[in-house]
Amino acid sequence: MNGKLKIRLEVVIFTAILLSALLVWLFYPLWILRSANYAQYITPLGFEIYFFGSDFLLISPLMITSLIFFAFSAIIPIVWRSSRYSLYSSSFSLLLGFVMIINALIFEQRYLNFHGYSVILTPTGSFYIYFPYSTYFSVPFYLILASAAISTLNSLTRARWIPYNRPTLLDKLNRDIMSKGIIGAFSEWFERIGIPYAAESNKLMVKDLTLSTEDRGRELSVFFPNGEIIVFGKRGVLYIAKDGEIKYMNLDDGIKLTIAKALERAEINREIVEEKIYL
Amino acid sequence: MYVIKVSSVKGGVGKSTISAYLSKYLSKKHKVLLIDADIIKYSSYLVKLLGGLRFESNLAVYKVDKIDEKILDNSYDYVVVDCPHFPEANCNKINSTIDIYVSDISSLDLLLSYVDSSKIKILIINMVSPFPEDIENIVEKIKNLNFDLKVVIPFIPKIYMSKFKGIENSEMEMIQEMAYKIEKADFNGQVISPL
Repeated sequence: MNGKLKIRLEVVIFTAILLSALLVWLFYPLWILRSANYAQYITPLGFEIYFFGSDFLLISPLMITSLIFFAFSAIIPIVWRSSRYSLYSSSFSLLLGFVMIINALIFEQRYLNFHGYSVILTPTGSFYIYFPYSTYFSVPFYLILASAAISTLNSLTRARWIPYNRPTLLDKLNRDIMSKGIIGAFSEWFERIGIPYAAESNKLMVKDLTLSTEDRGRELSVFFPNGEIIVFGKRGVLYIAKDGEIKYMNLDDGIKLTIAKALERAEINREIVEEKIYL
Repeated sequence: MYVIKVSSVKGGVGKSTISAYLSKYLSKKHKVLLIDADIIKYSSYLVKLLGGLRFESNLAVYKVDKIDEKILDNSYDYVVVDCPHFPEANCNKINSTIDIYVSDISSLDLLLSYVDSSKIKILIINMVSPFPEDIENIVEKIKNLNFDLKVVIPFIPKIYMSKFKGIENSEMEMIQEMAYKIEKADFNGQVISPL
């Protein structure tokens, strides 16, 4: 877990919707069966039955468990930001919570409603009533549905479905340079792009372009440069052109120059494209 | 009038080239007199002095063998004196405002033993290997030395072309930045380097 990592907007949206669903659910039932003189509700603590002015709450672990699963689902991507697995955990937890709600509905249909008759529990007994009624889902249910959709999207896209602050290829290359060093990062990227290169311990060569980080062996020459040379230091970069002209630049410009110079030497293999056409 | 003395502990470290380029950059905004008091007269050669005295825009050049205080003309904003290398008595007569010491890597320790000035002191390490790692090492080494400004100039093979092209047509960015600092009297001990 890393507190320094910023929270993605996608995660904030998901958490806000799910928490607001839970908050609304505390005051407004998720599912309602309403008749002229009685009603059944699915609340966070269980089944609430209203009958001629009296209220009865049938406490159910299904709803309490679903509440816990939903709360876990909302909080885990905020607390655990360093891995995509928090998003998967969140989605899985939300799914379990949703299953609990479905189970509660099945329970309601199986034990509190039967062939059009409603079982109306009271503190002293129960009524068995046949009277016209209507059932419907309310706001918390739809908010939970919306958060389930967003959670699924977050899991599939690693919470990057809103096009903002998306790392570019340059950002990714820069991150690789930080972690793997100049030679390690560029050799990987040359392979990915398809730029043929030769590697030595502290040097990469792309045709007549030499990319180096140090020159302890004093092999590079500013008098008689063999092609173009780019040398990376800790704070800056030296570029030696073919004609011996030298230029210093900052690290960012050095990275961009290296990409440009390497790409100049890349070759597009048209045979592979043609094979795909005939396949 | 600011009198800038450029000296070194030995020959061949680029003192005259630096004097010529410094004069060039200062003369862009000010009236500058370059006094070439070095034995081989290379700085005046670099500014293509042919007949003993040449005026081009703001830059005037004297080629002299002996330095006299009388030569320091108050009508100039800056007087750059290209001195012979140490030990010498000629340049000591000049009451300078700024002393510039030019050295290469090998003679740096020797130079430091000669530096004894209460004036504004600038140290130039010239002809440093141009590779970033070497420049970073030198910067690290000199950053704490007691100079008002320190300049690291990498070895640039093409700078030799300046004697063919003339200093008007070639640039030394480090000297240009140093000239700017001198104009602004911005001496805070910082190191000017290409990185």
